[in-house]
Amino acid sequence: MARRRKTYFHYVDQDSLSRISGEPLLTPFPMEGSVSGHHRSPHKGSSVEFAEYREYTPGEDPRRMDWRVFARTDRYYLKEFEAETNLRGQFVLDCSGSMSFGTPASKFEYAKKLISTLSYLYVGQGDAVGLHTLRHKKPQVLPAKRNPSQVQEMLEILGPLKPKGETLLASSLHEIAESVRMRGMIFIVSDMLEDPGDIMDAVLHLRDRKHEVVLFHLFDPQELDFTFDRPTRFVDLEGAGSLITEPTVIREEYLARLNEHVQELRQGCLESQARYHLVRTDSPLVDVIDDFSSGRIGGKAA
Amino acid sequence: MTFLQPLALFGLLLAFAPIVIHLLNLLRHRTQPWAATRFLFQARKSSSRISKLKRWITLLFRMLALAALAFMIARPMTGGDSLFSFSSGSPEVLVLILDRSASMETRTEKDPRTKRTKALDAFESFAKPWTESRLVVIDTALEDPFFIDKADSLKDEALERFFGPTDTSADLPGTLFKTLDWLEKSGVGTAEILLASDMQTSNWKLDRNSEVMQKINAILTEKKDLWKLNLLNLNDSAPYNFSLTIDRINRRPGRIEPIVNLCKNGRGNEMIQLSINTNGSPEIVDLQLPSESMLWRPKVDLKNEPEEGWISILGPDDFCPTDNVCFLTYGLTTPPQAAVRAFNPRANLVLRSASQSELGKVADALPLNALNEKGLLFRKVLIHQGKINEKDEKILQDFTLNGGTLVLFPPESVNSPNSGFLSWGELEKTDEKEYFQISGWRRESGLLANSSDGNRLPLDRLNIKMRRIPTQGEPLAYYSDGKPFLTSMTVGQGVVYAFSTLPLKAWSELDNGYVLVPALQRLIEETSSSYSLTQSWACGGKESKEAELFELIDEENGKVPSLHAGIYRIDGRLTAVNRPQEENERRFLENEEIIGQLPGISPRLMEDENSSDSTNRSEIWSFFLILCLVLLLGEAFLGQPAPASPGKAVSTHA
Repeated sequence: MARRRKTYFHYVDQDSLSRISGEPLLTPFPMEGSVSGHHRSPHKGSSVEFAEYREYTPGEDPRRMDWRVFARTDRYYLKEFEAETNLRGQFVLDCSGSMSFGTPASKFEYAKKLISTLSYLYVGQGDAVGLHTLRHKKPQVLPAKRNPSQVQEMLEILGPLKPKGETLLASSLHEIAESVRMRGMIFIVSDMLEDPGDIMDAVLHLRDRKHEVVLFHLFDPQELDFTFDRPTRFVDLEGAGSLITEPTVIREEYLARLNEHVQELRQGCLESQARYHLVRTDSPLVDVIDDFSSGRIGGKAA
Repeated sequence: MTFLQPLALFGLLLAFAPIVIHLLNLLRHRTQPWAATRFLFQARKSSSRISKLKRWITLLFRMLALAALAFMIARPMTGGDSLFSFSSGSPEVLVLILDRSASMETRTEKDPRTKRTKALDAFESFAKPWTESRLVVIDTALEDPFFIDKADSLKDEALERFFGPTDTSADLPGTLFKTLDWLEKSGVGTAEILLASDMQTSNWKLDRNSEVMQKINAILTEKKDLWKLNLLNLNDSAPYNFSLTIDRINRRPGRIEPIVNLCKNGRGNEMIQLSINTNGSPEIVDLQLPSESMLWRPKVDLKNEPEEGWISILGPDDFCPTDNVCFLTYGLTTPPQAAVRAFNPRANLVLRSASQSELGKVADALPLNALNEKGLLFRKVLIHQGKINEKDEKILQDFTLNGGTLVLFPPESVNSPNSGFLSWGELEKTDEKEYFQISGWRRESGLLANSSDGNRLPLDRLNIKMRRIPTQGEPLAYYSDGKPFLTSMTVGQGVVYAFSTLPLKAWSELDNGYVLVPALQRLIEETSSSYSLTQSWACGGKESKEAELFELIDEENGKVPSLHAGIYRIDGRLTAVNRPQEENERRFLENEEIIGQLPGISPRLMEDENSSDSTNRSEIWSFFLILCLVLLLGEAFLGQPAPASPGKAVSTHA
């Protein structure tokens, strides 16, 4: 009897699908795709969207010549149209030990759901999606593809994945910027527990490569509220030691530091035209998707 | 500070409970896996000093709150010698030295209680915390220890004889010394002594009692840690007070003319009403009182009165009722037979003439040879001039010790030996046309006082050519060079007066009589009362204390001559008992003056206030209760979790 294969389709959030499904998620930046799609391309093509008139230069394809203009003006002009192509989305998942924090669901589990749901939506509209898992040992890269089976493959990778080890976010992002040549969309899903300056350097590197960058900054509610009231020994999930302290004494300073960190990331994203989303893992995923998709659904992206 | 429940101070160990709990909490910490430890490390590293300080202050507040609670349960008392005196604070005996002098019946406008009542109230509060101590009251009038069960029984009417008002004076150093003596004899270990008095200067007589004060200081210094003296100074003066005293009594045929000294303070020119009660028949007299002090000479007709009787003069009511009344008696008198013994014949004549009786009879002359005791029998005044041999000296000494009045004039002879009884200086003479002049004398009272019309005796016009200065006695008049003209000296019950010159032309103009006659006549008049069938005593004096059989003559009941002024018949003689003159003193000692006399100890000073607040020994647990609550409130305030300030909270929106 054949062993029953475990499915991870529960990572795809049905509420989000029912909310977004049917409307394409667009990007404000031109994308380089391999096939026709919903997204603006940097090249001229054969879509119905008029782009410009341009004087004919010998050697160009005479089929694109506008004969009506020639009839009126006796001059050769080319009529050009916007090209529309598909999108190459690359999901970058932080698999460091700190992502395992959170109750009842960890940040990592929440990240899996977020990636799975967005992947489903993008593949559904004909876009290609890929996956980069950032971990010390055996980092996995799933190249972007637009096959419907791509979601299944991603789920196969995400499902058994466990967070472990130190954070390698900034350095990994630099590597991704170098390796992904075609401009596309980079989704970074992480708790961003690295120096904000390093992270923003990597984001700028990606932006230099014409990628659209979206940061999903995950927080467990305990990290944001810090409501501990008795002496506690905090043990670092990435093995950076432990700390015994009176939470009420350092709460104010802790929140100030956290806020400072978030503000630096938020400001860096604003300056580099990256999108920043702070995500509380106790908030429904549909709200996060909703927040992400605002301005991207229907018509032109903002 | 002392404690009524010192065992509760072991509760101070509880103050360390917050530290122990804090340490236990640190040991009992829970382990929490955490992702964002980088912020925790940063937060702890840069955790502000204020936060750390706040934590330690919180811990301190908790400790202090528990300590305050322990102190509160231990029932602390103020007034200990040291800040923390871990004794039960109950002395064996609590002693009240109660000043019952007449001035203690003064009250103020704000407080209807007399000073004596305030003293009793203060003792009640003073004794309240020490429930196990024996209570003893020693008053200045009786000077006997009186044990009581409860301090609040002091004002019982049944005990008024022991703690009620009196018309006596007080000898506070003497009473204090007797108290210490009693404590010593009774073997009392620890005692708290509360001396409550208005500190009237005349009740202390510090100049005369320096020796007694030294003894008191020595005893209290020796018992420094055992017997503690507390002073309650009640020297509030009355806003208005009228007082009257009898200065002199002039007996005239068919009438009596007392000279009454009227004093007041606090009001201006006013009309007052005085009641003159003659043998129980009152008569109201209106009198204008323009100044603070005046002499009033009412004439009381005795034609229709019995030969022996009494008179009381009552003034208007005021804030000190004890000095509003005075008493006098009259009766048949047997004027004393003044005798003169002068070796100079001229002086003998002058002195006998100057001391003649009202009936115009010159004084008897005593023989110049040896003095005879029989010759002095029934004599009250003896005027003596000349030398005194040893035998005479003994007789004269006995005469004065038994109450006789001796007036001495110096011997003419330079070679006359000085007797041990009274010595004279060398003979001093002036040059021709120069005289010794008298520059000062006591004009308010005594032999040389101004006349009843206010005219002074012409002492300053006396020209004195020769003199021999008496070397003993207190000067009553003195020359311009400061040497005494006339001295007086108390010997036993009698008085010795000594003139420095003779009534002879060669010596002085004393023989013209302008000074000599009034002085000798006053002397004879003063002493005549002793020979009267009536008599006048000071309330609380030695005679009044010894009077056991007496009959109260004036209307009030329940009075005794040793405590209350009034008219009594004692040993068959009608006796007027009056408030002692020294109670008219209006000067009061400051606490520092008394403390200055007791350098070996530091008496605690208590405030003159009402009820329990008047004492500086009182329970102060309420202070620690409030302190505890304040500390807990502070702890609660500091222990509040920091509010999530909007500026620092992490926003989930871009």
